[in-house]
Amino acid sequence: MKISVINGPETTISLSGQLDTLTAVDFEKEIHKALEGDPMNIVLNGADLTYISSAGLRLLLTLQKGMKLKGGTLRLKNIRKEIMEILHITGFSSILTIE
Amino acid sequence: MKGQSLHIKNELQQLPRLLEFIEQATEELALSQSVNMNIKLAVEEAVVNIILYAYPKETNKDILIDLAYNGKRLKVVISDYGIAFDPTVAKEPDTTLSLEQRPVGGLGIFCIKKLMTNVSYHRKGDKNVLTLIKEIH
Repeated sequence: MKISVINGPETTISLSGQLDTLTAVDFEKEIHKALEGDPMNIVLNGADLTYISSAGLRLLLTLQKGMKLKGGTLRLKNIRKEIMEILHITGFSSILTIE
Repeated sequence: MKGQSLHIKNELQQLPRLLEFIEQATEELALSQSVNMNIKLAVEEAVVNIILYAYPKETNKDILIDLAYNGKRLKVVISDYGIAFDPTVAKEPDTTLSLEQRPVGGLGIFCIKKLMTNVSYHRKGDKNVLTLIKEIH
């Protein structure tokens, strides 16, 4: 999996490839950086994210909870159909902001 | 009936091999992206649980994954010789809770059950056998 971060008025984190139990470790580091650092508005771009397992879902929830506590926002965009299905099944589609 | 098997050891580093195996098998069987995603997720969750909990202090232990497809139903049988564990009886998370109330975690087994048509567990002697069935429409 590739993770790219672009800072600006809002921080865009783009995920590419598979977010599984192993690759989640790298994403977790980015999440901690974002939560401990300045970003108040994060956009998670999932255009090239092809797979997510529960390890990835756990991190999305951690990030959403953390941003809310910080008074910031998190938006998910360009999420693929197969992954949206998982977000619906787990009830995540009603607690995350998905565009 | 087409069948394929993979034999891995109880190490998280073997996960890419497992995902690659499912990817190739579902591609060969010309299954949709959505089915591919669902099977991968269910198998990863089941196998990661085995890797993390079935053999607490032992390494180099076996996990077998057998996949078979008859054009209508895909069957994945996951076997190990670790501690007896029946994931089918695990407590389900409440997916209707608000962001604040929602605990982080506990979704792996839930996803397996939701994404598969049928999930069954048997202890055969000293072996755990988890069978995942997905009806393909």
